[in-house]
Amino acid sequence: MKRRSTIVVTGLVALAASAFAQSQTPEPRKAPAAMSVEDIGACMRANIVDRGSMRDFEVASTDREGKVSSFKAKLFWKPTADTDETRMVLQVVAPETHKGTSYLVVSPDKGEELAYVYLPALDRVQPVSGGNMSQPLWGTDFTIAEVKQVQGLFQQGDTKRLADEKVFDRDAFVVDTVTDLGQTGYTHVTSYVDQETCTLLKSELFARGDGPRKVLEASMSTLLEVEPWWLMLGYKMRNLESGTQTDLKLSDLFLLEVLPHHLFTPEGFFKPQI
Amino acid sequence: MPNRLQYWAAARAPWLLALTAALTLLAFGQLVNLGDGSINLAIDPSFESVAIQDDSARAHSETVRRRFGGGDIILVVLKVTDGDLFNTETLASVARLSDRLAAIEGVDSVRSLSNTAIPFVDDGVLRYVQADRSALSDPGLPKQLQRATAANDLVAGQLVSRAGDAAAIVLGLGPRSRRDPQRNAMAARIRKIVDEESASGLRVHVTGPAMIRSAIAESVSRQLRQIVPLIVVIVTGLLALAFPTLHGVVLPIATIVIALLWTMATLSAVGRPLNLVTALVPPLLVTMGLAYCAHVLSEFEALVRGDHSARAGGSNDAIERIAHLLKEVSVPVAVTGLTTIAGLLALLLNEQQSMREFAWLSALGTFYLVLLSLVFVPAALRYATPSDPGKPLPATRLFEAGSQWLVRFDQRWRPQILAAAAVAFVAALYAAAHIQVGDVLVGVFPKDSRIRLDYDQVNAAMGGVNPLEISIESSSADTFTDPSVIRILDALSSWLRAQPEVGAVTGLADHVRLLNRSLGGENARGVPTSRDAIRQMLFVGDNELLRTVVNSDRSSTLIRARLTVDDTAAISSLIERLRPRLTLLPENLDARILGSSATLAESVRTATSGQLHSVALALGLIYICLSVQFMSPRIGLLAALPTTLQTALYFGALGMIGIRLNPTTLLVECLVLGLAVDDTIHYLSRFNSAAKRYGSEAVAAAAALRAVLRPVTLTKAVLALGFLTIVFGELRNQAQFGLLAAMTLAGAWLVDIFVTPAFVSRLRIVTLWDTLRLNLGDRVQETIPLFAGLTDRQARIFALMANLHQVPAGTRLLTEGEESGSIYAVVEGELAVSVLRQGERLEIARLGRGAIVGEHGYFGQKRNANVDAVTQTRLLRFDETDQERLCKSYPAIAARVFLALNRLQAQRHTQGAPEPELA
Repeated sequence: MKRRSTIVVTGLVALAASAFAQSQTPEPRKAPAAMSVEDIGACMRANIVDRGSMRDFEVASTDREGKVSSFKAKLFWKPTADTDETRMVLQVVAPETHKGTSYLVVSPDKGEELAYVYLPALDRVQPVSGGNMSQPLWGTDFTIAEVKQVQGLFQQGDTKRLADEKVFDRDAFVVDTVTDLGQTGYTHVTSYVDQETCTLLKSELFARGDGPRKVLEASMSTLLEVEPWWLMLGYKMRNLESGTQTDLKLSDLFLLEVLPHHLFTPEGFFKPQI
Repeated sequence: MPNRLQYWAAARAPWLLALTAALTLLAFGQLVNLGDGSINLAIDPSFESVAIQDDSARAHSETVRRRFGGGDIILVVLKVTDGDLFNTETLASVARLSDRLAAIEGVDSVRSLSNTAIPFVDDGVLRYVQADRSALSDPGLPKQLQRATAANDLVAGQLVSRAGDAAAIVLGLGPRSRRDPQRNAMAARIRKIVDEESASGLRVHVTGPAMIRSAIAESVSRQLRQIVPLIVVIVTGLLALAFPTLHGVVLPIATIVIALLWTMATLSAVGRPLNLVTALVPPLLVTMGLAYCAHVLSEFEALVRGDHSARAGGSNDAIERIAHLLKEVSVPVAVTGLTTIAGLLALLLNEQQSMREFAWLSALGTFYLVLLSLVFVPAALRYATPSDPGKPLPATRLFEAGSQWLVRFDQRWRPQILAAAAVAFVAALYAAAHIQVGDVLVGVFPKDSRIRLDYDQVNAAMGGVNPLEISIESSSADTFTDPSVIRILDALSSWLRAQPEVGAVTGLADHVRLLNRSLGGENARGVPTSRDAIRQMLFVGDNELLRTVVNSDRSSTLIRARLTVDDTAAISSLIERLRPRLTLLPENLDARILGSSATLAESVRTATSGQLHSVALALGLIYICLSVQFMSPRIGLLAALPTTLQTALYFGALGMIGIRLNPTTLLVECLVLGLAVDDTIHYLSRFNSAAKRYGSEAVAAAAALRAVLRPVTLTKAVLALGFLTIVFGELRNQAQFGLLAAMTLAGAWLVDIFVTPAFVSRLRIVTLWDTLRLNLGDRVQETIPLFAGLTDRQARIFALMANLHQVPAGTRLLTEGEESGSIYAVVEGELAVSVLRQGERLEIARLGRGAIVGEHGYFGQKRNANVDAVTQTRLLRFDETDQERLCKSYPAIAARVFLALNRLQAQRHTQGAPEPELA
């Protein structure tokens, strides 16, 4: 079986996790003009955290009628340093009716992702496997595939570099990936990556025709340098066809050198920690 | 004699032709993009263009559409005829088709087994299975998929048939697909791809409103290419037979083409598209245009042949002839046009926007036709080479003999004809009370057509195609997380599923049940009892599919059903049962029925009931127009009776044959009204002038019938044959339209030749135009004592009813000793009264304006003097018959005239009136 993402969990958890600073020292950069698609991808992945940590994040979704619904959650990240897998826990803290809803995602280096969902009203943990890369999550405009892209993982498919452009007055690499329509819902995705920080500035997702169906844009005011790394703490995804949008905001980062083991187990991931 | 305006118009024919050409070029420039030759007129065959929704309903509909997304869908169904649906090959076809269809411009979303992750619980783990291309290599996929779909109400009956022998691909269409060219291109591409994927053991069917509309557009376009030229050939041929001259063929066709060009250019200029209803305007204009032209050409031929030499003055001069032609045709054509326009404008009361557009567009087109018939046709005829006056028109003898026979028949059997008409009228009203209302969409295609077969196959496999939705709203957020409310929704969905017209139903309750089964553990079934559990399930399961049935704050939900029926009567029946069911919902829930099926059914129902009101109003307006024209409510009523009878017969025929009332039958009704008014006015106009000329209603009836029989018969024959060719068209409603129109024309012809003459043969009518043209001199009441107490209008009416005529000097009016009942009043000129005494003429008086002679004879005595015209004299002659007619038609005028006569008699007795005046 191929490796799959889990429909209800992985995406936004991964998106939030992407803003954690990584601990390893990045390799020296080539000149922008000389960078290949692989070089650009590696540069983006260098911004991904691999240290135990916790942070808050907030998602606000605006529906077709302009109504805004939001939720807040805490994300715990346990990198692969001490095991062969990455474990992430997400605990919803607001709104009150959803408080306690929790997820545990276990992503082994090889094999299928497995997630656990806990609904406090049922007081029950349900294991979940597999999912749909093209389905938006939790009432947001993000699909798993799009979240992975924000992480710095270009969508699966043939990726090529196009001529550089200026985005938000910044020099940007432009890469275009031809994607599987059936799997992702898009024919191709054009991404604009900041040449200075290797953070994603903008993505345009095309289903057909000349115009994009969705546009993802970074909130430039949230660009943060944690020397020598760069973090983008806010993104907005707009669905141009439905008129919906989702705003993602990340809070400060808490690096936690010691995380309780039971927090990352199916038996304890839903219990309040902090 | 023609008036100055008519001479002016006849003399300026070149300018009028040039003006017509300039306006036509202008219209052509508006309608055709000269750069690329494309037509600058949008065609909107969408259902929305003819839907009736009040502002509130439309706003609600738009809100729901915005809230839950969606719009038109197309269903592509892969039906396995041999083998199992759940095998790698078939699933590969689904995936391949889904990808190819998703790439088509106009397709906004694609939902199928290849891009939908279907949840199922396996060994306690919630898994998802999806038949995308990368998963097809997994040998366990088909079995997993079969198991997952069987247990999932959101997939079984939606993406897989309940029988498990068909898979569906649901295409969601964007707003661009509503535009005509895009929709047709999209439909063609879908059809091509689908055909390419059909293989042995696998049949692919495609249907949906957009495909059906595209097929209709294709069919209409094919028909335009094949049947319209055939109609043109038939009409041209018949015109050549009826009017064997170049102008007899070219002018009617040119008039119709120009009027159509002007009308469509006006529509283009105001930026409106041609929709399903306004597309009916061209055949209406063709019909009316041919009728108008036939009358003008018939009159022209009559003038050429000297049939109306008295009116034409026997002149062969072209300008003189055209002026006389205008004199004869301008009033009837203008009145016909105005009355038809009034009838068409009555449709402005209709609630349907497209019907209102039809009203003004067809009224405008009729106005253009009237203008062209009275300006372009006469101007062109000035340069036409008249046919040989000595050579009779084809079938002249037949029409002559026929009109004579008909007149004799009509006059002999008048009471029986009127009784038969009355019986037919009552029977027609009775039959009309049984008219059914309804229309079909795909049902217009033959049963063995591809579009119909596809529709039937998909309908059978997937449990319905046509969407019907129930929107349920609450004023409070979070309402639709309440378990008791969801159970109520579930019960409503179950009720819907039990209805024979309903195939598939999905709603929030189905999602909640599925989420409960997926997340609640082995024993979880049905709707959870905990509200928080529902809230949390909806939170984690909030994906695109869920958003199509519940909004983000859970204050609004949508139950989506697909109907197995296409007939609006069946849909209306379902809606009538559904409405009371919705009233059982809790008071805080506001439920409304939406969806194109419901709106179509409601639109047809409302349009047709509105149509009945419009027809009643149109008849009322026609009655008012005729009453004004004939200056009498009673005569107006009699003149309107043939039109009313034809309308009643038409609706009666619909009720009797079982043809239903819908937008197609509406057009035929408009034809009925237009033609009936046209024929009646032309007949009455001819009758009126003939009655004045011959002084006899019986002779006038014969002359009028002889004058109109030819144009009326030929027009109807040409049109009926033209419409009959449509009967062989592939769309049922068009065939029905052709047959109905032909039948209606035949019925109208029968009324024209039998009933209308019988109705009016004993009428003496006065038109408004007659009175406006009549000159009785100054201070008429003071100078003509007979008119004392009458208004100017009343005096004119009496003068026209009483045979105003002019006699040359030397004409003898009364002869001593003669028995005659006529009485004369001098309007202008001088009379000499004389007696013969011992062989010598003894003049005893000279009488001028205002004098009355002949009262003796009027009261039954012999004439006691001779009366001769000394100069050319204008006289009013009336007798007992006129007086009776006046009493019936204008009783107030009759009473005043009697009073004046009595007063004159009394004055003569008291003053010792001179003998001759009592002649």
